Amino acid sequence: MYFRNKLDTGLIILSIIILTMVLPSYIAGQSLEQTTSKGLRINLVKDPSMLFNHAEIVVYYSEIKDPIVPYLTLMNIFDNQINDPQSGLLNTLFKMGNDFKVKYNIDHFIIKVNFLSSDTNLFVSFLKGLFSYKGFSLKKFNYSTKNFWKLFRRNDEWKKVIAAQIAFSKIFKQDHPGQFLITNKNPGRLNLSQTRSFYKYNYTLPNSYITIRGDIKPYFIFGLVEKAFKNFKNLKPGYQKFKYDRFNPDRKVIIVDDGTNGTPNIYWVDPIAPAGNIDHHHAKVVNNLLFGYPLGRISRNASAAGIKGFNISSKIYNHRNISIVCKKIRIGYRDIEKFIFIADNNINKLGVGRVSRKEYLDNYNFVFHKGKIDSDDYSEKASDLISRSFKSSLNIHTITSQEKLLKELSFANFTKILSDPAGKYSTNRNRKKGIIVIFGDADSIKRSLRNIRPEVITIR
Amino acid sequence: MRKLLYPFLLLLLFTTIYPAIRVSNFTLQNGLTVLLSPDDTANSVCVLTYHKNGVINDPPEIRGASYLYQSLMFLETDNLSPYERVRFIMKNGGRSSGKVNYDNSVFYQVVPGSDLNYALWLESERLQKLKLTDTKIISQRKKVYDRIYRFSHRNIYFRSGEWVRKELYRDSIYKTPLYGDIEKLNTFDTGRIKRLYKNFTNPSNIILVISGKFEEEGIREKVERYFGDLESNSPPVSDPVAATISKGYKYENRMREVIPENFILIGLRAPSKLNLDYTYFKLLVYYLVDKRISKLERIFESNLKMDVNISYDFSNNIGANSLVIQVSSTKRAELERVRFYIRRLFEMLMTDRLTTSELKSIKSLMEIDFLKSLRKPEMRSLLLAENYHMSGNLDYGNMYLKRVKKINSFDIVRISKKYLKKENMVILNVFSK
Repeated sequence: MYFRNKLDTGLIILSIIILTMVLPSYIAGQSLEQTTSKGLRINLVKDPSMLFNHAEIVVYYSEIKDPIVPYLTLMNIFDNQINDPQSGLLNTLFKMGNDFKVKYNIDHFIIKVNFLSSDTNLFVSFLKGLFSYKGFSLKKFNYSTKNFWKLFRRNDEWKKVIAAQIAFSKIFKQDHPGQFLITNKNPGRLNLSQTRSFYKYNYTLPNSYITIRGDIKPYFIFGLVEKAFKNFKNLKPGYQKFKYDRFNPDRKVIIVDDGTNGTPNIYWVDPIAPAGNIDHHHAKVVNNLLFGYPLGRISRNASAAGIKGFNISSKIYNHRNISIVCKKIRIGYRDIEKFIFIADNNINKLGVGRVSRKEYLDNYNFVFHKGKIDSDDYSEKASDLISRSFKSSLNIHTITSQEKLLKELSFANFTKILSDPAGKYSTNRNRKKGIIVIFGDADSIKRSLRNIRPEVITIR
Repeated sequence: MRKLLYPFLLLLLFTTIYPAIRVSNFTLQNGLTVLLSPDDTANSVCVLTYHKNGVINDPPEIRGASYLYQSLMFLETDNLSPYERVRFIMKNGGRSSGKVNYDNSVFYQVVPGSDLNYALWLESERLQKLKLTDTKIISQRKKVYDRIYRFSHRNIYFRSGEWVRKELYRDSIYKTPLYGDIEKLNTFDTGRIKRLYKNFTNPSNIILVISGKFEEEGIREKVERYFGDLESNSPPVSDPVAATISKGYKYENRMREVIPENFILIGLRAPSKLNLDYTYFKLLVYYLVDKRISKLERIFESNLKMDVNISYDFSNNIGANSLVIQVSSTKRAELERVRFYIRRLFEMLMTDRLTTSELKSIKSLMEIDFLKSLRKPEMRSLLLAENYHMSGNLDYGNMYLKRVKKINSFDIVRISKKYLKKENMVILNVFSK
């Protein structure tokens, strides 16, 4: 008889219980990419080293009739000031720790939520609440239109959103959401039904993509999501009606007079090939070679020309058929024109001149290794999946990883796009490119410019 | 059977409860402590040098001189030109930084896993072959002086914050700013500043942390190769202790001709990191001012729809801490209301318990934030080193999480009574004339 007393039997039972807790997570596998029966694309990645969960929900807009409506819709759903007393949806987020961020974009929005595994059920009910929201009211809507700019500016990235809107309106000719600008006149002329119908038409499961990474049981979560949406209607897969395939990246300089008189922020926006395309990564190398800080050509030449106290940071924003690289430059009033002149000089030289293999390799090395180091960040990993989801709007199994693409870059192909990082996606050649949006006091900026004749837009 | 069963059960429990943070340590013959925290899932590796000395270890006459090393450490060495170390790391997509604090100093670099040897070599260069010359020290001293002078003369927020901080720390060593006394800074003797380098290079004062992607096998030999030659040329610094600060309420109004906005600063003395109350007080900080769940934001912005901005500064020292809440508004009357509501909220916290859902939310957020910081190699390394410095304990992660989970609403009432009372507070109002 192996088990001589009750203690042994108890220990055996205990070990079986623990095994049933531990084993399924290993048996279940590391990740799950699947589309639910209601068309929601979902990517679940098991990463036990995280001990918490990070989710990103992206909703792609199918159609936008007025560019301000998507922002008003998001504000009405997520802004605490508008939602007092707290709505059920915000209350669910609060219970999970309220660690969430809503990222505005022109043709989509992303919600990033962090939560503990013990709150998985709450997260699923948040998801359900997001896609069956019924909390719109006239009182909230009126408050949001009346205080639109105040509320809009509470978003850390509001300048980037405006810069992107302006850039899109200058780059694309027609039939796209960036064609109209958000101005002071916009909010007042809208009504609640526009927000409601925008929500109904765009916030659908087939228009959305969810990625969750962390200490999760993929099949268990997938089951919970399936169950949560079982009573939802079957809808057709979402498709963005607007196009991005023709654009005009001619140079435009726009000052956004926002009433502030601190150090101006410059957003230099250039279109590049979409994520998932090999030229997208070549363009990343070109961008680092030029705008890398402090080692890029422009930074070095600007420092050598006596420009002090500036800094540059670049960020890439992906859309379905195009990506834009947005360089944020902080620089004193007096040096704006000089900096633009130096940057243009370097861009032109790159277009006609040659790049040594060493310089290419140095910059490639940076992009490759930075990509690898950044990929340790759970949020970067999620963003990578989201970028890839843009490329494959219907079939998530055809996604190519960024790392694989980076390995396919070549010096020969790199030199082909030097004259225009947008490559075949551009319709104009041999002209100054890039949309430059400067935020600050318009009078002071205009006084500092001698040769550049900017357009001024007032937002206060 | 039972002999086999017990270890098996222990192993199972271990993998269930402690799946994430692996930490081990060893000490070199010269006294340098090494902490290793490998992570097989990572692509990068972080080499962080934690110096147990900070500004409080400076001699009183030149207190603040260590702060100069925040930049001096990036100067040229026998084998590297100035800032070449940073350039090398950036070229490879990595990041590097350094900070000298009151109770410690930290320098780190995050590089691709394959570059561990370079990172170790770069750190050993900084610790053994830094070229400190009088000219460079004078130049750095001047830079710091100019910057602080500019801030204190042009920036009303900086000047006011410094005043509140001084009043909060009163008679303790933390009263002196991190950069030292601005009036005396330019008179600090270069020879004495140079001698402080020995504090930084003394292996007994160093905890080297390697975390992320690396092979544990052979790591000891590598560390020995790069850091084995470090010698103790100065006495080791003493263990950290909590500073004793006398209580006392201070209230002041200041009227200024031209200021961008009216503002009030409310300063609170907070427990040291060595005090068990620290975690409880941190929960209060989350509750009051953390943007994501801030009660003050909810009261002023959501409930009362007031036009105010709230920001805060919570010091991160070992020996003594403070929380300074800044509320600004163009309307002075709004700030008078703000002060009234803050006082009422503090009184309420001293008597009423937080609701279950509020407490659950804050605790979840604290847990998430902590777990998020463990995912950043430099933050994980810093937390491990700092905790080892304070307690000699390697298992910081689970200790902290257990503490957070145990907090209940009665604890918050107790902590509020202790730290939100009037004699623990300094208030400064800065209004436009």
